[in-house]
Amino acid sequence: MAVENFSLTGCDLSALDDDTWRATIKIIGSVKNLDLSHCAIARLSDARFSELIAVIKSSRSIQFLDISYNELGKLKEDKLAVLRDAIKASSIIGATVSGLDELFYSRNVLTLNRAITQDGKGDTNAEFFNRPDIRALLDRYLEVQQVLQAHLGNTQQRRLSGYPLLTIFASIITTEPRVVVQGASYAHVVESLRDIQDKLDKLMGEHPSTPALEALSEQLKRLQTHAQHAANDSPRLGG
Amino acid sequence: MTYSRALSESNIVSNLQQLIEQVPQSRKEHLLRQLVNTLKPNNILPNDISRLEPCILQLDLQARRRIFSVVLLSFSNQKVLQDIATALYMAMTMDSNNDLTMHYPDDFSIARCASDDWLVISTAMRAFHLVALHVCPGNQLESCEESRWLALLSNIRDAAATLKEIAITGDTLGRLHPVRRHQLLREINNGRREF
Repeated sequence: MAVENFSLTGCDLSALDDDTWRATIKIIGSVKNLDLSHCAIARLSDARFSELIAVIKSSRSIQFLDISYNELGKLKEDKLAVLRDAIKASSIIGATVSGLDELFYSRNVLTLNRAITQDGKGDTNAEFFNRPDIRALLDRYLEVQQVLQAHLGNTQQRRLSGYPLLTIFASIITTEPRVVVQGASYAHVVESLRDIQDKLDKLMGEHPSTPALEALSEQLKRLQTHAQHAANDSPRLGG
Repeated sequence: MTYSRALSESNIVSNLQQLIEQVPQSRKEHLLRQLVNTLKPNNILPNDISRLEPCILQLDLQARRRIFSVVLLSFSNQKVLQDIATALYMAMTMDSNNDLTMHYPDDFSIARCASDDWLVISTAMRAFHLVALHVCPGNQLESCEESRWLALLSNIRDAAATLKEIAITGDTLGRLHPVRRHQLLREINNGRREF
């Protein structure tokens, strides 16, 4: 029996020597369940990225692929499109391209996730990501993030504390991403959401509330409840 | 392996644990040493052990190794070894085929564990049907002495017929010397040795 399930989660693929990379690529193309989460795929050289894409596309073995937590949002549009096309054309029946909390940080990842779902290649979490309330929350978050980024670009000298809605997200965005070597879990999502909620509560205690903040708080609470239930039922995303 | 045979192996484990637990400390240490010695090559079953649990004589070598490895690890005073013993015991009782997922915890160093402990664990890997192997940085594969490294590779090679899941998490692969990286991946890619 050849190895069917192969995980390199947490391995920096960009740092492997060429021989190891080639050996790894051969294994990757021959397994059924492949976990490459937390593997720094966004940092791969163009040549290695192309090789990885080629093997994902051509493999007749891979059925389930996890490439979450690879900072895919940092990839340029053309590379994201190539990745989507490769998964679409592949034999993969369930792809996880992002962890839930990643979707809060990147429009690109959210878009890729939706595209993979539209292609019928998404993992079992697709139902969750497609819920109207979850979509609304993610969209709301990304809108705020965009406003923040534009604001930072235009008025570097101004203090963010004057903009309570933005301050909360500034502190989240500048926080170093957590390393979750063992892969995405609902418990981790619960923790991330609680972190956001804590910051939001603190903010609302210090500043006059606004309808937008109230709505966001409500959405966060609902999302936490759902994630907590999911964590109780299935500790590992996709499990 | 039928369910009743699997059950009897776990019963023997329980019997042995109770019998060893009841003897005085010095005798207990002697018996545990003898059990370890039975796992060494070409070692015969001591009368002390067979008198303690006569039905062991009716079991084949692999069954004895499964039983002894569980018993020995369960008497360890290290929690991580007791956890591994529990995993072995579960494989013995929950799966009629003795299918074992060997998940080395992050606080278990293959490089630094006592030689007897490694002998027991390495023996268990071969005595059970190894279906999954999970290694992580805390196992310190990069600093394993050659004999332990080769034993690990040999266990993976011997399990080629059953092994269907491998997880090499975190920086485990990155820390290995390139030669060892290549050796490990070659064993995983068993049957496709063109690289």
